[in-house]
Amino acid sequence: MKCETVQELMSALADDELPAAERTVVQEHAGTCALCAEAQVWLRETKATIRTLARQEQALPAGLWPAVLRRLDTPPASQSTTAPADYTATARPWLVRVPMRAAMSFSIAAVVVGIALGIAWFTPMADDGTDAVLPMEALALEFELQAAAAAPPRSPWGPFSDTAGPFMQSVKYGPALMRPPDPQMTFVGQSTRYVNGVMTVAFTYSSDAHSITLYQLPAARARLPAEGVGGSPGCEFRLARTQRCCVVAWTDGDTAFAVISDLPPGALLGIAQTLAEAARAPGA
Amino acid sequence: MSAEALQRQQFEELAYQHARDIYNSALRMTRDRDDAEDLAQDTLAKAYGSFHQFRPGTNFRAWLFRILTNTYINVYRRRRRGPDFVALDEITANQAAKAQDGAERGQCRPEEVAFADLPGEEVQAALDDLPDAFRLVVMLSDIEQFAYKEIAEMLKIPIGTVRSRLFRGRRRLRSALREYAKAHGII
Repeated sequence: MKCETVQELMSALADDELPAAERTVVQEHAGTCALCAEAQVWLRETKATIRTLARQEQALPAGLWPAVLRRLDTPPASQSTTAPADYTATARPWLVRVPMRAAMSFSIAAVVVGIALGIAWFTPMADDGTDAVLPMEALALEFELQAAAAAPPRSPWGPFSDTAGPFMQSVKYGPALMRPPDPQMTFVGQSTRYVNGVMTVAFTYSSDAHSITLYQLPAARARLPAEGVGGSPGCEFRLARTQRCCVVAWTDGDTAFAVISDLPPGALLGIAQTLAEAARAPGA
Repeated sequence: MSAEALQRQQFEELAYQHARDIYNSALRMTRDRDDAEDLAQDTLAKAYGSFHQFRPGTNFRAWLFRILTNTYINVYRRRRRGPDFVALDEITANQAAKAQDGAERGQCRPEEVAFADLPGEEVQAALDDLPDAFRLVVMLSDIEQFAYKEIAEMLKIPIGTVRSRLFRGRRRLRSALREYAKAHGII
């Protein structure tokens, strides 16, 4: 056997990818050929040297994971064929209220895909058919959350699996919060999201006509809107609104809460009060 | 929770565990931070779009890397920039002394010590200089530690080709690393 062939087998041997029969051939050859015996050394050495590069890991850039999540929220229209045509009409009748003009100005397929993928965002479309606002963006806009550029993102599933983390202790996610705040609504699901690099836990509820998302995040990381709209000492509700949606936010201990919805402010405040009580319940 | 929301949550949980890994590998492939961020994002977004095709119980990391390598080959390789230039005169006295020590004590061959002490940038530069056909198999095997079979699937080449490219890639790297070591006055 040629030395070059033997050395190729040696390279595979260093990777533990050589069948036993060929292993014997290699070892016999190496015992009689100085060149190949030497090759066995430099092959292992080179492999080990390259392996050292694995230790030079860079941290995940702070904006990368949030950007990925944003992209998951807005799937490309080319995937639209994967969504069953009748899905929205039966599963999410509230979508039917979308005005025809608005519907025409959007790719309906894209909306269908968004819903079919179970993404917990809602599309509070304006009657003039302008762009829908993702709640995350609206939330970031209104809260001006402190960017956590310096801190690497923490695990988004941390609150659900990391029992030691302080975030876990400050976030409520028990059955009390899975009960919808209004009998006409259903609990859609919970997820974790980053808002400006800050981890939040989001619960989403929806009814025939509306969708509400409740965000929780560490109080220290949230700046609440300025306008007070009642509440009690220690739990004061603050309101902010954009053209298309409202945010009602409050803090309770170490946790900041925010509900965001296309509901009018009065109705959303009622929902916020119900959820604030639920979050204080023993089962939360 | 709806099935879709559950799927989204499952994807996020799995994908986040590997996001840093994917980014670092993308960085090694593209050698450019912006391109690496774009490549990592593209990979994870594509993976979510195909998540229904992922078979639970199989290797999710290998599945993600298959998407990463495909995306790199199809999109990013065309605009890969040349390797960063690295100053070769930055060998520290300590590294030279360690090489000398090892040789004198006869514990190991000076060449091995020299290789082990080469600054990471230069090892990286040697890897960057390899043609992509060799570079990708070396990265996927030695750094990412995938099995030949997994690499063959990722690059859509036979296992025998993975084996021969690895050998030839290592042989080229050995020559390059020797040059670096000589440039440092170690061997």
